[in-house]
Amino acid sequence: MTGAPPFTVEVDHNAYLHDGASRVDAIVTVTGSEDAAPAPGGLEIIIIDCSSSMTGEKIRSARRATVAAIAALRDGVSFTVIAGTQIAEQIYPRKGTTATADSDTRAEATKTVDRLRAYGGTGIGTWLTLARRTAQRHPAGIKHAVLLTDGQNGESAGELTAAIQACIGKFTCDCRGVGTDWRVDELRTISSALLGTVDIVAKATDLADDFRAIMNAAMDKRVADVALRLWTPRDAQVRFVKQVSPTVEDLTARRTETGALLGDYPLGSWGVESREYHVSVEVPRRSVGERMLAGRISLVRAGSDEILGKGLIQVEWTGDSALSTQINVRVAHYTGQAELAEVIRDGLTALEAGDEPLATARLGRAVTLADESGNDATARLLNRVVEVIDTATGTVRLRRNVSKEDVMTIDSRSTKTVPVRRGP
Amino acid sequence: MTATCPHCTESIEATDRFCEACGADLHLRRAGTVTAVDSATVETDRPCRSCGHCAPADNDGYCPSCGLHPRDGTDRVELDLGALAGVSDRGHVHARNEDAMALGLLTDKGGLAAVVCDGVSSTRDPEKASRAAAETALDVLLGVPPDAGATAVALTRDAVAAAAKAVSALAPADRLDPPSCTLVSALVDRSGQEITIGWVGDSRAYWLAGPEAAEPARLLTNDHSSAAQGRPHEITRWLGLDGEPEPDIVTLRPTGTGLLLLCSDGLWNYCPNAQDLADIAVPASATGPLGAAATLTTVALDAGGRDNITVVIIPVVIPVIPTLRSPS
Repeated sequence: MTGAPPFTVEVDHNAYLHDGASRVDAIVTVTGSEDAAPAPGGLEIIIIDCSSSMTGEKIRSARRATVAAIAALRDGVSFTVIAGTQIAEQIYPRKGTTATADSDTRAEATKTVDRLRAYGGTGIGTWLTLARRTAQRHPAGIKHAVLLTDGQNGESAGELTAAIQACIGKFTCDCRGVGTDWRVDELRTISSALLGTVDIVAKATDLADDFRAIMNAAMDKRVADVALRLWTPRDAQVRFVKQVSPTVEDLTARRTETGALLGDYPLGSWGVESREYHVSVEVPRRSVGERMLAGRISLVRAGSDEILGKGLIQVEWTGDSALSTQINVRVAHYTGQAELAEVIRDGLTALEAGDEPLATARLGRAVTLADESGNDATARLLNRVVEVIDTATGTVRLRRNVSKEDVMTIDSRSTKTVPVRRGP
Repeated sequence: MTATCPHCTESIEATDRFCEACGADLHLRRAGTVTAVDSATVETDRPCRSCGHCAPADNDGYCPSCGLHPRDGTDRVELDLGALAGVSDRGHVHARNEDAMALGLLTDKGGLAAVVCDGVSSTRDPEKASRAAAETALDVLLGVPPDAGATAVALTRDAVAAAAKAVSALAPADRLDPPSCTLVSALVDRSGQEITIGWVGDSRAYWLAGPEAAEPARLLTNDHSSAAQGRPHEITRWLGLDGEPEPDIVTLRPTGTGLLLLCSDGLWNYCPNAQDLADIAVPASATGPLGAAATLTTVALDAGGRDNITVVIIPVVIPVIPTLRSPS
């Protein structure tokens, strides 16, 4: 296919295994080429929470944010705006259709945003279902939604889960929570399943800037539905496949078998960007001197065999311990970043459950890891929740009267990672 | 009776130097590391040696089922031409055998030659350098066609120059870490009385003989390395990019019988002393040069085998000239 951007796939790992070793860890960097033209068409769905709790500054900011998002739409992109209460109502264009962005439709849509009024309940599952139906009617291409809410879902967990499951692979979704009455885990479940981002916008007035940024990033996507295809040798076990940059996202359970030794992991749409993956494979042990292909990473257009880029994880067994004991800097770094996300989550869960000793231990460990890896943003956020006594040992004291906003901010951003620090 | 060319089975005349059909040198018997590689190269439709999977190896060169890379057949190479023999072994630590050797002898007029090369591990594909250098140098040493006027010293110099050129041709100059290697060669004239040794880098030639020998055991070469500066494994001359491929050349005219040894540092790192080497190799050579080469290789393997080991043995017999008695 012409115009398909070549992806570059770089593999960084210690290729030398000692005698008897069988575990292979590699950091795979996938970069989309700048040469690719933005994909034509595409679909944007803007979903705004119109529950009664949005009354006042929140709904006014949501309208301004929607206007900003509409303004950022590229000509030719299809779009709809959905008002969400206990039901989902498409407020633009008329029900069952989508509009194609141009100066007329952008102006028209902007006029309709005052129909976003706070008056009902919160049924996120129904919003997603309407978005899915719209996406399914739309021809293949980049399909993306942005979802804003300020409260907890009023549906049963089962209803929401079923709605999310049905949406997987139909469109990607960035989720934003405004204020502090929504649940981070609820939105993270959606954004994670739908390969998007989650964040808190504590101040309603910041919403417009945030929506503009989301829409600009969405307009910059070039390829819809990319999958990482992993070949591993017979009798090998895939320990895990994790996205580790820009955020930690475990993809292991999302594998679809696509051949005898092949599995595909969905990555969503792709722009001019790099993402990194930690691939960990257990291979059969071989003797010194043997060379093996422990994995082949291909970037494919989802649901096809069209290969957009390829990288090899090649290993060899050696008796030279000077080679086999070398620590790969990036594998170590991202292993630490993944642990950081995990201990923050554990710490916050313990905090919520009132288990202060556990919360202190986990968040203390997080302080150490954030410092070691140079994750300054996370270190600053942690500092709002705990008082650091000694960074190196992770000795901390829980702060009293920590704001809910601070806890939710660190929870939302716990999976954000930083690249490996440049050497001195 | 008509003879046939051993290479292409076309009929040949007894007086032919070259096969009219394939151009093979009919009087040159040769063997080298590359012979082992050629015979072991995995054909695409051959089953994987490890798992028996029969699909053709995929584009990346690995078995599409078990993922193993086919070995190139050089983990252990044993060559025996009768008049000389060699063993090259991967050792216990290195993943590949990056050493190479080439042996040859002229069946019509006598004369033989051997080359040992050691690929520099810090470069990419060093085995390509060592193999190309060994084969190219042997081509020149055993002259096809023989340069009637050339002296052994000039042939050695030409052989090293040709080998250096072959190594440089392996990779574009702008590639990172182009392959490079060392070289040691021996050219023995038909009488066995003049031996010309050339070398670049730290591969060595030794003369090995019993303690009472007329020609005592000793090291014949002088490493091009920074050993004097405390860096024995940093070579100062090599074949390849930015290397100085200028050989040192010595000529030996032995006055007594002994063994000529060419070896890579995989052997002499463990056993650098000429008399120690002779004490092991001379008795072992009773079964022929291959026995001596194999025994020395085992010594290095048993001592750890941290590097590739290559050992070539050329027995040199100096006939005892009977003293003429004046008629009484």
